[in-house]
Amino acid sequence: MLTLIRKDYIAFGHLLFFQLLLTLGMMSFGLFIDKRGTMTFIALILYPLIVPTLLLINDKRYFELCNAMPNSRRIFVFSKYVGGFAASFAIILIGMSYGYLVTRYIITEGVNFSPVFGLRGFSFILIPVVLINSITFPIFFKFSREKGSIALFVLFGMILIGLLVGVVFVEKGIQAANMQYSEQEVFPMLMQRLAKYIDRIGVNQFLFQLFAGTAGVLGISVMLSIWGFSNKDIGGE
Amino acid sequence: MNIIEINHLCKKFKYFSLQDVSLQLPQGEIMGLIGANGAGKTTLIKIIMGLYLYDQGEVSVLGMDPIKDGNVLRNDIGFVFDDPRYYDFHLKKISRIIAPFYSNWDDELFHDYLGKFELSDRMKFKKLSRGMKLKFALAIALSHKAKLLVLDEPTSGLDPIFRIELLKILREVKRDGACSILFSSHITDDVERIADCITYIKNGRIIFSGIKEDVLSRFLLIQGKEKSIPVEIASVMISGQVMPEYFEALLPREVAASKGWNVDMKPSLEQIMLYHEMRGE
Repeated sequence: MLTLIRKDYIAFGHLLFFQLLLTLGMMSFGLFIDKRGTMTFIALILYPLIVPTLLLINDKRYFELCNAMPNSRRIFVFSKYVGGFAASFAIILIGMSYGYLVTRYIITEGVNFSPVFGLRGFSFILIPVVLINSITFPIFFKFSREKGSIALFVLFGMILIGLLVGVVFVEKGIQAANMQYSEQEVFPMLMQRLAKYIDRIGVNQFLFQLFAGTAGVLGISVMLSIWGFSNKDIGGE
Repeated sequence: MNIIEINHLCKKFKYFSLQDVSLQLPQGEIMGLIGANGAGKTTLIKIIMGLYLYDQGEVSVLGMDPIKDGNVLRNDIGFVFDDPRYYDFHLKKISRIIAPFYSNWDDELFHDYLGKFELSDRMKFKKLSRGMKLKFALAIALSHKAKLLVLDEPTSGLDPIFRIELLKILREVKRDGACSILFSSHITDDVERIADCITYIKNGRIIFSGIKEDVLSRFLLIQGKEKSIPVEIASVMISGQVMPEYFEALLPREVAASKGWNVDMKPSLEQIMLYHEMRGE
């Protein structure tokens, strides 16, 4: 597996470097120019988030070569998960360190990075990375690039619509409760409910539940990827 | 011992299928797999490499299953695909990526082959011509002491001089019996030149498979000055064609013998394949 991961890092090192530069660049825009947290944190999550899938999609042309060498399909699938997430996490770590150092020693007003810089913040940023790639990986292991892109587009569209409809439905449903909220908040009822839930169980417990759920999704993703990849003909993509 | 043993293999696609394919490649031999485009040669090769699944039958390569034992098995297989696809780097960097996968990789041997094939490790893969890409793929395949070489159209796109050079290299590689070779080609001259065994596949079915001399001696060519093929020949021939000056037909040897016809013209492999392809048209 390490040989496969090493191969990916050598073959696509330029992509990883570019993603790192993009992350740091957009974070810099948020820190130095925008001076608000939104851009900084979006960059820190968004650009590393796509790294695992980016590595997978770019290697699809060479699946025939890789699987004609001494590898098993199962180990090949694992290598994409491990290598992709490791690269993603490394970029997040570098980004977080950069953000902390800048806000600590250079621009001390504006974005407050201290709450994020730590194990808890790092863990929280990992969750969307793992969740999103857990959805994309099985699709791209089973289908070709073109079909996979279409399937992904449809799937994410359905998830987004489902989420929006679901959240609005829940929001309306609990609006009957006489809660005070600020009009600047998005889906204020739901956010208040969530905040109350976190207060009740504690942040650590909440994070643990998120992790457990994410780990569950990841486990299902790995099984689906192995199943999909083991039951297809490789080549010709 | 058979290096490749395939029994009653079936594989279905939407518009094509391999049906009841059986063949054996003895250790230390070279097998030429011939057939027209779309006959199933590449499909068969990809099944042997563990890249394609199959629906029925048994496939054993070096005594192992190409799907279940692929990670162990492919350490001893060198391959060249019809369309070699490597990462877009200098050849040296590509070899540094590939080498760790093989326990018997020999870097000195690799550079020897690069020299023989007139390639420099500073060349970029995507800038190579098709023939040069094939040569590079061959250098990789020959550089880790493989017990089996699987080559899909290895001479296609190569100049005639290098084709002969390559065939010579393949003969040398198999000389001590440590390496067996399966190569597919529609250039029958190449197959006839170096193969010990020949398998002919047409529309997903094996038409014949066996030792080259046996296979070639199974058929005879008959010619005559008539403007059309006589009925008694047409009823038993594989197929034939009428030329401006004469007709020609391919017959099974035993049929000619049973009819008492005095025919001794031996067809080339190309003629055997041609007339089989024409059959049924």
